[in-house]
Amino acid sequence: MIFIIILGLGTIVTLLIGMPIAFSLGVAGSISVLTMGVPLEIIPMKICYGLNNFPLLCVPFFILAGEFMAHGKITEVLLKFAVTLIGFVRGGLALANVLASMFFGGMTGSALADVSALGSVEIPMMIKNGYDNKFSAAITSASACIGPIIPPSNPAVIYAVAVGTSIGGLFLAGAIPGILIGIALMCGSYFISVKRQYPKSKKSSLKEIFMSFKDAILALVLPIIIIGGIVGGIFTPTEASAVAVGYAFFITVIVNRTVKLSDLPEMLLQTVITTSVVMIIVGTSTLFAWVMAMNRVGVMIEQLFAFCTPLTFLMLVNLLLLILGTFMDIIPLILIFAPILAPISVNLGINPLHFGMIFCINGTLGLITPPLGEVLFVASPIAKVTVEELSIEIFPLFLIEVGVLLLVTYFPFLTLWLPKLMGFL
Amino acid sequence: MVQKSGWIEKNSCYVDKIARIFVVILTAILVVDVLIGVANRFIFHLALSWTEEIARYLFIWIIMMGAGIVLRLRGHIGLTFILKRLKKSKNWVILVTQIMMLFFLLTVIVYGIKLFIFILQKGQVSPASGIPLCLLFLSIPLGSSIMVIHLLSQIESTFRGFSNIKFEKEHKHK
Repeated sequence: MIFIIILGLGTIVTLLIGMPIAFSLGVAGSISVLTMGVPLEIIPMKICYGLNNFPLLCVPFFILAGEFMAHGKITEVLLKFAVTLIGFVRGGLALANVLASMFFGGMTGSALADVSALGSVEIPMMIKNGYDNKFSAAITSASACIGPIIPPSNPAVIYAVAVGTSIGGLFLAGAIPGILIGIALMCGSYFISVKRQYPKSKKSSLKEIFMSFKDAILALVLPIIIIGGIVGGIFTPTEASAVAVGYAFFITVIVNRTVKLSDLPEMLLQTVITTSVVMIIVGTSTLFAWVMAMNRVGVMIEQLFAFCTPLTFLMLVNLLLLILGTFMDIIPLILIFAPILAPISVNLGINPLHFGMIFCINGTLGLITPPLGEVLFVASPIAKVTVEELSIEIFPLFLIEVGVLLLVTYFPFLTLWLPKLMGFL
Repeated sequence: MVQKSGWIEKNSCYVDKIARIFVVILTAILVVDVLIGVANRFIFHLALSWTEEIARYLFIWIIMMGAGIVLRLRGHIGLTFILKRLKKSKNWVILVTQIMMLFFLLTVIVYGIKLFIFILQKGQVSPASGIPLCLLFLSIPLGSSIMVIHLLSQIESTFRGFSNIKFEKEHKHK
């Protein structure tokens, strides 16, 4: 018991005084190991073993593919295609913004990539066409949350590795919830646009739609390659992500020539930096999880939730994760809490893929809630609004997304139908 | 205010440059390596076992080096909302976290080297590619050492922060 108190207190105290999460977990884990009297060689060993995991390589590869897409102006092509498709409706650019995020979500798995790559094009474009700064930033941030839910998804990879479920299954489980969030956001932004009389773009002719489709088709094939390849058993998720990089290289460097070979080192370096921030936490959280497992923390917490029915448990988890998600980034949230909560959900008869998807959506929503919504911090300087203004403006859109989360929570077939169809269950 | 960079900062800068080049090369190799694995299965119907193993080892090296680069950029994520609200004691709190991180990294280095020597003496090699396993474990103490260099330079600048505050106070006094 004493070790658990040391571990818990150590983590909380070091976190609160501002130590980076990766080091906080490492420091608390090391102190516990020291007091437990286990040889200290376990510390470097666990960090090494935590990273020695082939599926984790999905994360840098999907980030790199996203870098290619952003540098290669593929995001602009996708946005243009979305505008020709749906721009004629009132508030058309807002709807196109959501649609483009859905396309882009099929290529990268990160909300921050979505908001920084798409947002830097979308927000100025919307403001130029007569939308409020605040609303432009809000709809861009809200739609960025679709990125990590529609497959491929970096949080899903981390969750699957931390808990030990199928990455392919979890990817598929996210498809319908991701599309649902997209549709719900489109409806919501349509109502707001009608109320505020935002402009509509002119209707595109069939020829224009065809032309922009022709530009976008090469990029739009990528999600089919990734998901089709994984579902069809042609490659593992990691190989699929490497193929995505190869394909993105092919269309941006060789076909479109929008990325020069001399840009590559910068892109690779950026990928390494983005990945390392996440992965060093994976390393030290392995040590942390090991200390918890040695002291049977899981069993104790399981007893705590013994009174729950599946529905009340899911409700509690939603509440807990939404609150924690406002303070914590999605990856540490998954790495610390998923290994504790997932076994309980299995005991209660909740499907692991269903629970995993609920976890990922919760964590993603945390990215757009103040005070620590990373997505808001990226979007607000682009639109030149303060984070506070943006937080107020995004609130109705956030509620819409919570509504979809509740739907997904209480109707398991929304997540499970597709994996079942494809034979992952 | 005179900003002279001490020799720790110079070393930190130097090491960082090397690490950046190293990491970019490793990542390029990583992508090519995994693609070779896929291509081989499709074109030659030959599943290579060593590509996956090498990819994992490269990945660990990349992350351990990358963590140092991120540390220098002060890019590791944490909860800073309390830290931001502190005024007078801010530098002290930062110093405490930095020293705790330093001790953690030193522990990792010392026992990482012990582990490295242990595996070196055993002479284990990886099952598929035959790479000495000690090379894999070398990444941990080496990456941590780089982090220590960056951290020392940051601790130095925290100290400089103290003297800057004093300097400003004296300045106001005059």
